[in-house]
Amino acid sequence: MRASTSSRHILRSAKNIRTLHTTVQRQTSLASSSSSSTVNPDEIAHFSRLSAQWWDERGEFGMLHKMNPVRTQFVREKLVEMEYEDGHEDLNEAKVLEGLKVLDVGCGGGLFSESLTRLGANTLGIDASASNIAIASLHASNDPALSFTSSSLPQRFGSSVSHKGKGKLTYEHTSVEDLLAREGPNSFDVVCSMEVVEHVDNPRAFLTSCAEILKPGGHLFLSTIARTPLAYFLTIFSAEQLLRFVTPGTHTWSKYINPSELTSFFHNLHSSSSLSSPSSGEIEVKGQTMDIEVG
Amino acid sequence: MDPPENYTNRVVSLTPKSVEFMQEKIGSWDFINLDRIKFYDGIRAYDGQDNSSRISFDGTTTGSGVLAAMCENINIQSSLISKIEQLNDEIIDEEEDQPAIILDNTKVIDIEDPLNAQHTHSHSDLNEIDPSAGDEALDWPIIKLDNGEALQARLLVGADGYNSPVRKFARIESRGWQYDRWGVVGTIKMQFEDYRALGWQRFLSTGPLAILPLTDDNATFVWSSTPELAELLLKVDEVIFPHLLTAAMTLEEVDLQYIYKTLQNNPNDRSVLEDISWRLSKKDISDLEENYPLPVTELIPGSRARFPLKLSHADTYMAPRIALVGDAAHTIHPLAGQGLNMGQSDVGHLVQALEKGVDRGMDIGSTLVLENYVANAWPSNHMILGACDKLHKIFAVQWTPFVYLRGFGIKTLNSLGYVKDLMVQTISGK
Repeated sequence: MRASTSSRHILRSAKNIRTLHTTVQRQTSLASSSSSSTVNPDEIAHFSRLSAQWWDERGEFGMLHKMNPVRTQFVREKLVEMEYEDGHEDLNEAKVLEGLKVLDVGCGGGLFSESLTRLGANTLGIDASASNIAIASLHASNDPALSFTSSSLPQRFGSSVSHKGKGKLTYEHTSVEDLLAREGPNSFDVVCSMEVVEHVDNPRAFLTSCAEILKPGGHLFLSTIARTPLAYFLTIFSAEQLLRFVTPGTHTWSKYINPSELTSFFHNLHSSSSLSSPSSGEIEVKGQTMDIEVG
Repeated sequence: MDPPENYTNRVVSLTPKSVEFMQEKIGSWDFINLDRIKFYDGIRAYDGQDNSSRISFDGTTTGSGVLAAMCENINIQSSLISKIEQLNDEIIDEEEDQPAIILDNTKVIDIEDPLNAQHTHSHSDLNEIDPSAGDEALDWPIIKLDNGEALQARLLVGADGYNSPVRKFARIESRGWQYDRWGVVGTIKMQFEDYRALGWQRFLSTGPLAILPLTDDNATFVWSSTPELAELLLKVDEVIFPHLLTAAMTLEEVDLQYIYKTLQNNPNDRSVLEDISWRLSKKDISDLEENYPLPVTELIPGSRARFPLKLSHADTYMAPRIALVGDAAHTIHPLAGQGLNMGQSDVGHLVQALEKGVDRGMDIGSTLVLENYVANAWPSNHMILGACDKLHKIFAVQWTPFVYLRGFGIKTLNSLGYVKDLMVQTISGK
């Protein structure tokens, strides 16, 4: 059965982030002076309480389990598309993620991080909730194929050489701002943040950090819930209040972001940069609305 | 390896869809021994209590002109082994992945859920990666073998037949019933090679009897019968048996009852031979030539065997880290020759679901991956199981008014081309 849209998701991929990257560097002082972290303590407490349920495919996060394959496929397809656009015609599509350094910001129980790793990415999953990281680590350690390394001792990500053809998975309890401060900009080939931006304080600062930690020419993938009446009806009224699929308080209506808002945010980053550095490259922002098929 | 000279009695009818699956998807058809494959063009089915009530199914509606291919199990098995060997050679060349390992002459003695197991085991992981990391034991099922080894699998596929230990381990309920019928099979020779390349099926009140062509003058039969009749069929003298088969395809059921009775008193009573040829001689020769199979002339000694007929269908084909395929998931009455083809279709659907899972970076033992398989495979299997069950039951009735009604139904159906085409397309998997 095909149910209707569960939520309006926008997934976007920013190509050739060179410009964005310079822009972001100029704005860093502004961002870091205003707030060192975009993490919202109430949100973290909320998700920490629910963390034990991350891997229950039929439970609280059942909808995420259903969405996860779609997100993974989207990321892979977009990367393949970009590779072809860049003229890499002898591409092995199955291995497009192989060897890439990928950051999953707000990894939760690790659903998405594990999928990326299986596709060959060297993945770092970070989350502001320590109990999420604990659950994610525990789950990953139970899959021998994931070559999971525990980050209980802080280690430089990507320092060790990974097994041929297999991605390496690492989790760390940190925020994107702290990671940026430690690793510096230009650190990741791909940055993903799925269903996170609607949970943070100061999304502008958050998105700026996400863009800055990305390598020039890298790809930024974001998915979130659009602020539409349908999304309110499905994700808050139906899922939380009526059917109780999801614990009430999981979503906050005012934090939802519309595709146009995200697009214009990145365009503004872009244009302010071209004003200041006319020689910089291009940034391509692609917004896409997805209807998730359920069941 | 050369095949045995005579045909083995374990023979299946492969639908064009199954053949295509072996050609395009598995790639094992390259290794099949084509000298031992008989493509046939159609089936002539008729009612045991009214020989004029007939229906014919032809392969013309499948597009290929072929309805199905008769093939020995051993031919399929050896083609699969050759394919695995070829793939393993490629893997060794590429130094990627691990070759498939076949353990023969090995039995599974137990399957254990490590999270419920009382003892700790020393087990080797299929991926040869030390699974000891982590605070929690791996939830992968452990398969203990009679050679002392144990394997632990991300996904355990139960292709282990009607009594499937894997299905029992997964506590998946299977529902169904015994038909109180046996299928008697064997290999025979016909008078000569029939250019018509047809299968013949007669719905006797004791169960359907089918003769299906093999290459040259060879053929195979499947005779569904009551337990008493099945016992008799296995005992009847090897010289008499071919003539008994010809009689069962041709004579009235009352004649057959009389012949059975004689043979029950003495399975070697060769006076039956004269009786049969006398009864056959009263038939119209041109009718015999046109509407019946050629006379059976020889039974390959020692080729007769029987097996109980039953219907069963598992409630689902999956549990976490478990998938069921083939007879472990369903068993069917052989009257439409669908058993092995349904198993092939299961494997096709399972592979499709696994490919999708791998593409999306999923754990292929997860029910999120496997539920796709069940959603695609279960409903169509259920339909075929139901249809074959109903056919069996309709033809088991001997009550005269019903026989007329049935005959009317069959003749009507035979004249309704499009309905018949639909049936052929369903049965041939197109």
